[in-house]
Amino acid sequence: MTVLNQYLQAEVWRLVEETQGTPHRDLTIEMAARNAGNTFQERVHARAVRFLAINGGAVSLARVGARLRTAFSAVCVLIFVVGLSITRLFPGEDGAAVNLVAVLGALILPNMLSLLLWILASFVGGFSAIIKLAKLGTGMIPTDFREATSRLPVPKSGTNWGQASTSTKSRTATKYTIPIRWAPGWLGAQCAHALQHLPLRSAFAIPAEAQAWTEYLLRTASGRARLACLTHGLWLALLLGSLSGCWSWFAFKQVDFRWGSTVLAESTVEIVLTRLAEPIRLLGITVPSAEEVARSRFGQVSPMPASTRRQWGYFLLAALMLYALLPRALAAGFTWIRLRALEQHLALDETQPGYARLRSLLMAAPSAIVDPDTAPPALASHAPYRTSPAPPVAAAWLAVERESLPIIAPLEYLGVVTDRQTQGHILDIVRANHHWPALVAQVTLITTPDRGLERFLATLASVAQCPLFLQLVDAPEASDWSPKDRAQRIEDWTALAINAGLTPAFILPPA
Amino acid sequence: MEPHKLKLAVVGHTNVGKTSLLRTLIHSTSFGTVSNRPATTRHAEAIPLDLGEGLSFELIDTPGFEDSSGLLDLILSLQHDAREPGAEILQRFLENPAADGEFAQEAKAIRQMLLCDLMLLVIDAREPVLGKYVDEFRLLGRLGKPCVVVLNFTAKASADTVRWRAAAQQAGLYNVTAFDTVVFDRHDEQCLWQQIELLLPSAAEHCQRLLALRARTLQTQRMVGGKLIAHMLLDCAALRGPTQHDLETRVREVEAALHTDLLRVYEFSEDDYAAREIALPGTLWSSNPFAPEVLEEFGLSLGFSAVKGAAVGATVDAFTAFHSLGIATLIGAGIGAGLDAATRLGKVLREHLGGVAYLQIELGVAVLLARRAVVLVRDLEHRGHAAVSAITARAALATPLINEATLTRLLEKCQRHPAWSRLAQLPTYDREASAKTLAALTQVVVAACAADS
Repeated sequence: MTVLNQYLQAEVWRLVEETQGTPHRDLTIEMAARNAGNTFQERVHARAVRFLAINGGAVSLARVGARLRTAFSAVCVLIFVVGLSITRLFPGEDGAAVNLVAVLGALILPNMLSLLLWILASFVGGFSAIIKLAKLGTGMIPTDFREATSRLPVPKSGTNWGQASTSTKSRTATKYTIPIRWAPGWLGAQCAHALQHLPLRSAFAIPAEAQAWTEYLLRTASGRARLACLTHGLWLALLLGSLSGCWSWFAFKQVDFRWGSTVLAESTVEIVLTRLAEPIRLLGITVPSAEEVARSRFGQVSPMPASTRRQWGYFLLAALMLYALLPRALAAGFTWIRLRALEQHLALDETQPGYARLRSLLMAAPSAIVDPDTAPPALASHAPYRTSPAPPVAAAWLAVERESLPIIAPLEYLGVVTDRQTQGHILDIVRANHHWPALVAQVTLITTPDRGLERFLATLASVAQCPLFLQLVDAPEASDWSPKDRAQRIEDWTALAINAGLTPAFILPPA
Repeated sequence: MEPHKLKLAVVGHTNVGKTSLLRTLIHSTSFGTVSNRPATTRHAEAIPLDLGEGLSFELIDTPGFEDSSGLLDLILSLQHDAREPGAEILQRFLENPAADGEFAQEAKAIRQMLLCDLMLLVIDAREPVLGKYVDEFRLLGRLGKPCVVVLNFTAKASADTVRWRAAAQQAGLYNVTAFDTVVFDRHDEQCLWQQIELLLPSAAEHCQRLLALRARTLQTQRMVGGKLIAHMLLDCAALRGPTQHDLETRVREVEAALHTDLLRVYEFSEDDYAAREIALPGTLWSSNPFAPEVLEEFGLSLGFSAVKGAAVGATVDAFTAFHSLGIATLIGAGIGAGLDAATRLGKVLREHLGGVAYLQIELGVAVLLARRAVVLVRDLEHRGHAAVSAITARAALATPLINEATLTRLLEKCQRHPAWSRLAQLPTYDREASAKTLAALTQVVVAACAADS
């Protein structure tokens, strides 16, 4: 499948989904697309191809392409016929004289002029007035090379948004343009636009296939190069028609060749004809000499010799080939090479809403577990005891990690446990005292239960000579917690305390 | 260039926001599980951050330390000599049976610490500077690897960054940076990567690329967001409904779809936004062929159509080497203008004479929809990917957007073109015709989204 075909299929499916508002979901296709490549564009292509295969869109797209080709071929044939009819400019009677100036002007001048304007419009992108003149005057499609390099839709993507590849990095920089772009070749653009309105319109809306073609032709550098190729093709058809017409005319009719102009000086015409003949002579074709040119002027009474007549005939055919057909063919060849190059870098515009919606579906981060967990959960949640007694009045009391006001009137305040020193100090005090009715460790809900605290509580429970209570209290910092978060934290503390060896009934939830 | 992957291990105490940091660094909510419970992450999980041309970061999420003091005591007991390198002692710890038993979770983190190029130690700045955290400082300090201390939740009033900075520096960890994983600050993100670049010279290109990528991503996301909003506004403003209920339903659906799209573009999930319905009053609208805007549009369109036709005709003239004396140009101009007049003005006149009226959403409502969407984009740009509470839609938005006058003018224009709305599913739906207005709308919306930052 060609790059263009892939591009168009992705575009067709984007347009279908954009019209519907949401991306189609098919997990099998999404999985296949994710396996199809590493970059976003590869995955989008793969996804679109699969969806279109199911919906018959690929066939429809091919049909639109075939229609466009047929339309172009028909226009080419028509224009070839117009070219053939150039011989209408020649006199109809045998032996009548053909005006060389008129024929050369008609065959070569319009083509040369439009070619010059195309070159000007292509390379001098800054002078927009000239470009517009060129577009309007010639009806052809110039490719603005400056634009082609600076406004490629979006850098060829990597796995991230706008991640530039090596080849596009320098030209894309950080510039993102809205893809309503200058469409070179105004008339050609209008024609292309009109195409979608003619035989391609269905009962509802414009078919996505035609829309995709139009957007490709008008909004991508590659599309514009393709339009330029087509324009050159039309000119070539016209010139080939003219050449064939001339050859046929000269082969089957005998005509005399004369020249003359109402406003141009004789010397000027003579110089032009002589100069035009020189390169042709270098090709080994016998052309009329300067004397024969002078003798061929209108008004010369002497009959034209057959050899001179033949030389003028060859001169006209060679001039048509050298000054019209060859430059146009070169321009067409150059544009075609450029088209090939641009097509290789044909990238989807990832800022289009249709593609933006797909990014999260197709580019989910591929994380990998590098060190798995095989152990059971360390802290299984445990619902708090509903029938918890109140801690005895005058118990000894300590705060865990954070200062908090005791909810009972303590007999003795042992301090806050914040580090190994305070832990050791409190454990020593607890070991030495046997007269407390109970010991209360108070902890705020925002304190995260961890194994270190569990170890401390376990040690405290083992050294205490009295019942150990765990009193959970609310904290202002937890005021924005959801009820679910709060309940979860209480359950986690309950589980930790039970693990530490505390009696479940002595674990007291906040009031 | 040779592929160059740098490993960054995210370590820290349990429930300080290590997975949150990772999510916010990769700008995605799809990684790991974030909760307010301890020991949520119980395995080491790596995720690549591709920077192109073979450069990448591998960010590794690790289980949290749960008993730092006990761990440090054990490690110190394994030390033979005070001058022994920290990595050797930690290696010895990993060979100790405790690394597979009591300290299995910590062992997973330590394994990644030994393998990585740089460590990111996450601290919950709301917490007091407790002994267990100081023990973690000491533990990481002993390893002698580059380490950046990341202070999380700094946007909270209870965060005490000064004390935490002092504590870290006292333990020999001088690279401390603030980075709230819930309230996202682009400047803080830049500072974090600059700190990494400073500590790890081999990461200089990685960091610069990443920051450039982030800037591009923001631009692209904003552009995509702008396009999505512009599409929604065009669809809603141009829509004409048979009944108020039908109009409201369709507008609500398209607004909800926009919210989903915006959340996707910014890599959030649908749970991150709590929509709130607003009143969507409709207004009766009828065609007036003599309204100045309609006449202006008609005149322009007629002129352009005549020029288009003339240009096509001129091409025909050119093919005949102008022997047709410009007749084709004249005929082309006439056909172009005639066709345009027949299709455009004829329809408006028919509707006007027939007294046809439509129900459309009020212009003020369309502007309100635009404000809501732009505010959502701004909110998403300042939301960390670790945030768990949903953004609540604001029902009333008093502050006008930048360029709101232009926006209003464009929306008015949309209202005159029902065929521009995809929702209407009219046979005349014409994507190309609305393209210019859509582009202008996009520009206005993107500018409004960027105005805040």
